[in-house]
Amino acid sequence: MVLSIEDVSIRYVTGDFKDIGLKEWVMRHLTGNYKTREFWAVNGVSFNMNHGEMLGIIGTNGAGKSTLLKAVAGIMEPTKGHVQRNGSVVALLELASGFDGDLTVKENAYLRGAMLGYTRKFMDETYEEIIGFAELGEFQDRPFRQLSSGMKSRLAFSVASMVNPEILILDEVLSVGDGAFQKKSEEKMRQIINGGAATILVSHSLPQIMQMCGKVLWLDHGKQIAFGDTEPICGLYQSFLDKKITLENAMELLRSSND
Amino acid sequence: MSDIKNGKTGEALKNNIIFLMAAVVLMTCAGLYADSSVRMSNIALLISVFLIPLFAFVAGLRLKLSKDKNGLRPGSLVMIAAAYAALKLISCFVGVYILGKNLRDAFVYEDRAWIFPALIVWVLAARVMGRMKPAAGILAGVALGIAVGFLPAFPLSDSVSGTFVFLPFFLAGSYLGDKRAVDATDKRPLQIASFAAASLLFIVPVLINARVPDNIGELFFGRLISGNFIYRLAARPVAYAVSAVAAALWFCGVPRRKFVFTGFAGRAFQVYFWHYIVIELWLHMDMNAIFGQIWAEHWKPFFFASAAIVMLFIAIIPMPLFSRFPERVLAGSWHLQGEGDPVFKRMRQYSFLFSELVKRNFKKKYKRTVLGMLWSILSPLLTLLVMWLVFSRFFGRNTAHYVIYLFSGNLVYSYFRESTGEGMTSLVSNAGIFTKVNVPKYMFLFSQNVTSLISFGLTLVIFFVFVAIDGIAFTWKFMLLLYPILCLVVFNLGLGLILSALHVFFKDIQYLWSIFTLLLMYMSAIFYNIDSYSQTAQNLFLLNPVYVYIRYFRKIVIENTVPTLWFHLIAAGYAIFFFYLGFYMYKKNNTKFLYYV
Repeated sequence: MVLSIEDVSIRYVTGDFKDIGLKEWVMRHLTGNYKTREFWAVNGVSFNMNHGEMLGIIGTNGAGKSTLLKAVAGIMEPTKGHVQRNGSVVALLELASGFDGDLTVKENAYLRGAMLGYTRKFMDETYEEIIGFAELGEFQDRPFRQLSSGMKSRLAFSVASMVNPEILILDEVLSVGDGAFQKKSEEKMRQIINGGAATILVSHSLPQIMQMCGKVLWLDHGKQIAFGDTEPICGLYQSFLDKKITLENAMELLRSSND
Repeated sequence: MSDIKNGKTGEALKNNIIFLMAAVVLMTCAGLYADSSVRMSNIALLISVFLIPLFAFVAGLRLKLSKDKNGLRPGSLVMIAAAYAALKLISCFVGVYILGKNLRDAFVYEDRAWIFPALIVWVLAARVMGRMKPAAGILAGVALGIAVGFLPAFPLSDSVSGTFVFLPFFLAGSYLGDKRAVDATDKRPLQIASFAAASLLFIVPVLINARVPDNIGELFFGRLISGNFIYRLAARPVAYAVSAVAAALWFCGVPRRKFVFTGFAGRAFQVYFWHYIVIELWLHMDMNAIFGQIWAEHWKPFFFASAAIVMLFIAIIPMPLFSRFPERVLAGSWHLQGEGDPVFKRMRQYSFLFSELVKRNFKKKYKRTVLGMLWSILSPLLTLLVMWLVFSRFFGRNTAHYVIYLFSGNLVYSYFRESTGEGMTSLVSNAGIFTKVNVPKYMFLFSQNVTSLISFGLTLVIFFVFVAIDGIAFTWKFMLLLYPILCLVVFNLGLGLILSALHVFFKDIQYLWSIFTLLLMYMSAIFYNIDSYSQTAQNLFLLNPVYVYIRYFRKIVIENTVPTLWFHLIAAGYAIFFFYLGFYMYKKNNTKFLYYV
């Protein structure tokens, strides 16, 4: 098993706990007005993944998909539960962020590579390939801020796809770039998956999930609604989205189909 | 009741008897204290200090062996617990008082200023020892003990030295004895081994320095015998009775798990207090008064016997504090939560990121300025010019090489301000990165510091040019400047860690810090001279780390003298302390930052 998620829950605290400044913080503690609420962005999610598997995560906005991915990637520690990763993780989350607009494309590529834990040697060797794949050869020395958002995402994708990680996390990234690039990136993705990587894909495009993923995890308000084969779950999810059935109906149907 | 159920009535009875015996001895001692003769009260003292703990220890050991943690305790549990808690409180306060007194001394007498770095060094030593394997721990303890023993300025009766003797113990014990350690499973051989390390740490320096004076009585005359009337009347019986009762209760093992102050400070003062009492008694009792002529003629066996008893006693005290030694070894405190490998390994792994971040910071800093890097040089020079214009009339006349005097102050201070000020925002401004990619967060600060270090280096070159122009000869001593620079770098890193962590939680730290640095500038004797101040006031300036580093520069460059060993220790002490504190903040909050940005 390359990835095992055991009963992972992540709690967010909201309310007075940040952006209130030192004075307010002290005052509210003194006057007893310091109030925080907590909510569980991810609540008791468990699943396992093996080499070469591809898992799609579906759910409406605010279902906890991105938070869960952050826990898988090790950016966040789960409040409860346990994430076990047997191998390297590369996470592509919200691709265009984390770049520096003042630096050139090349500098940003190197910086991103460094963040992903590549070595300088590796970057020197693969830089041409990265730029070639991203089709940004002529923009190399342009400041990053001048690039279009599609180009930015392309660069991010190219840098990240250079390694063969054991676990690959993709958050809404396959829809970057134009049609041609999408095709290319999908191909690249397949290459990585065929290389044995366990891939997690978050996408709002249900056809894409159905086409690519062998398994699906359905989250709703942090809770795990279903985990299993793609076809039945995606079907139910579609009907849920179309407001043909409620969540309770869906869960009931899933339970009965499992029996 | 539970004892009857468990068939341990006999055991409990024995414990009760032992405890009662201890109580009887204690009562007798109290009676003896009331006797006004020095001899009698000294005997009472001996008994109460050495015998009661021994009794109590046996009782405690029996309790422990019976492994009946919730069973019947000797005497009334509630009473003992209450008394114990009260005594713990008192001991803490007394500990605070004694430590406070020594710290006060440190301000008044320059040769005692080392107490600050000593504290820090000992904390670190204790932490390191706490993570060693028992054998290594023992070796380290012995080595450290011997090293301490050879330190100068270590007369036995000196209370500051007394502190120094206790510190390793007190810190090692207090650190290791925190709640988790006490709660951990008993592993007796390991306890004993780790304990042995600590006791050696304590005893060796005492023995090395126990130069036997011509008149042995000298060794045992102390403040307690020769103090003023009220002190003699009240302090001794109170302190010793408290010590004896508390030691007895402590070693009964009665409420240890429940009523002990589990925090670092609480434990520290407990341990410190007991040791202080023991050593004070040992060193200051008037043996001649107790044993008269016999003592004067045959002091040697007495001396060594009492030393042995003291060692035994000391050896017993921290037993419960030293459990969970192996767990500590494995725990590895250089791990940050959420990061698999220890910090240093991670830093090697991410050295590429580090250099890329440095490059990025550097490019961004000078990108849109016309003067580019020249600005780094120009800005301190302009500051210097203004300060010179304003202040040279007031302070320049009494200060030799006033320009260099000003420059060295500005050099250190501006590096400090720049490094901490820019380091503070390093975490927040890189939030976009560490919320998306799992990278070591301290990298942002460290790389930020390199940028300010480079401008510091440039300014330093200009500084040396000024030094040359001013006609100051370069000597080998200038090489020593590497030392304060290194300390300053570590110090700035530490403060940067602290500030950047705080900045995540409270954005207004930024404004507070800019005010603070401004105040600090006036407190750092950058443009004025403090030679005319009283010695105490001058020593108070040593509390300001920035001043310490500035002073080091001036001592070397202007006065051409090498600072004292203590001065070096202070400089390093601040650096290590703040770095450690900063690291600790990251350790505590490494996974929390994410929620605040």
